[in-house]
Amino acid sequence: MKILLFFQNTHAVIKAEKAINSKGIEYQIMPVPTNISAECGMCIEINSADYPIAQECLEQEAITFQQILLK
Amino acid sequence: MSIQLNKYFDNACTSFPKPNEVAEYMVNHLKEGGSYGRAAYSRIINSTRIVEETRDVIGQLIGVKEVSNIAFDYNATSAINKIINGFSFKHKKVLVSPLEHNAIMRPLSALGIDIQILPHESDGFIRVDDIQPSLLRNVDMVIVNHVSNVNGVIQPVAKIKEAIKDIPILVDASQSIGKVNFLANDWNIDYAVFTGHKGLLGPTGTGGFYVKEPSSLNYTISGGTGSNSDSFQMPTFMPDKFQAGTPNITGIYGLLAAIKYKPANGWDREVFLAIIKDLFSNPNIEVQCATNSENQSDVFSAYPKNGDVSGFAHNLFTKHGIEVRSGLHCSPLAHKTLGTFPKGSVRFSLSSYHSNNDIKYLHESILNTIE
Repeated sequence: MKILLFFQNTHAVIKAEKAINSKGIEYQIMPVPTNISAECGMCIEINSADYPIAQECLEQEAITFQQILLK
Repeated sequence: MSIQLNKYFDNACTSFPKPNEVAEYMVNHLKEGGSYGRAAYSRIINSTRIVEETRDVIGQLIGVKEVSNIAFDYNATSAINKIINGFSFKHKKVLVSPLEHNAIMRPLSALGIDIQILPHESDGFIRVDDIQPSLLRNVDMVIVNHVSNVNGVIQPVAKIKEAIKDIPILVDASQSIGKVNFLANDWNIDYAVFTGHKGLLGPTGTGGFYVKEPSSLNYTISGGTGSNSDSFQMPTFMPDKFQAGTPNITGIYGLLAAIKYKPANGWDREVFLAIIKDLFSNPNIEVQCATNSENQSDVFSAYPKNGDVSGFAHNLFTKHGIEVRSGLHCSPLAHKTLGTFPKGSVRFSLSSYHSNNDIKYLHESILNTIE
């Protein structure tokens, strides 16, 4: 299963990408799905198994985010 | 074999040369690059990463930990206008250094702000000990040009902020970033403005500002940011609040290259200070520089006592190939302070590409021209 991580803006996406990448987590930058948000920017998709590590590193970097589990 | 001399001494106007990588990075963006953060295909993602990497390195350069509070802009003047026009001047009164540029003076004047001058020495260096509480009454903001673009005086910004306590300080770092140490967080700076094309050796059309407390400023430009796109209102978060529209991404590529590939100084400070000292002691020339050499950056001005300013610059170019600017340098206040208004001066400014030989050539050329 996949999890989508959403951020306030582009700056936060790139900051989050750097943090997630530094932990060796597989990720993909995706367009924000229009059925979820009216944003026109980016979000990050990760495997749900990696979420605990991603959550920890994002919180350590004080990066605010929201997540949605894709079924 | 003769050594090619660098005769360009107008780096306070704009830097020359740039590292070769500046043009390479910019061409790379023009050929292959995308926009900033508006979609999620790799062309945009790669360009967005470059913009954010540049924001990170600017943060390191100016001593800012919260880099999201750095907004890119098209030059220091635009950034200053966003701060001054976005700030609420309750008493409509500011204190400024005596060496301010018109990038500060004109936006303040346009708003009808009461502009008072900070106490200073004859070279414009601010006397921090004379900043008394009575002077600070009803002052909305203190504004300081960190390094003068006329005589190169470096102002004691950290001490000034200590003296003014909670009054916000706006520091114009146009002539200092890339040349003089700047520590925005450690010095408790409220607003700092920078440009990319002078000390950083980047392209024109780049610059920006740091704001410690973004809620202290209203935005003055609104538009698309790629965030909160379902709303007609501008986002309140940073840097989006002050970055409506597509940034100068090509320029930011060049700015990153400039910072990454900037060479170490090819000249020695003692050599530079020695020529200023020698010129200062010459009875045929007036020199505008720092009284205390510790406060001297790599900019100074001069003109012959018997001769006009523009003719001096013209002769330096036609006889010796020296490229310099004459006049007021958009800083009439500085020239009034230094007693050189309205004739102005000829300004000499270095970059890291100069060598000691270049400085010696400049010295000989000045002496030869005033004879």
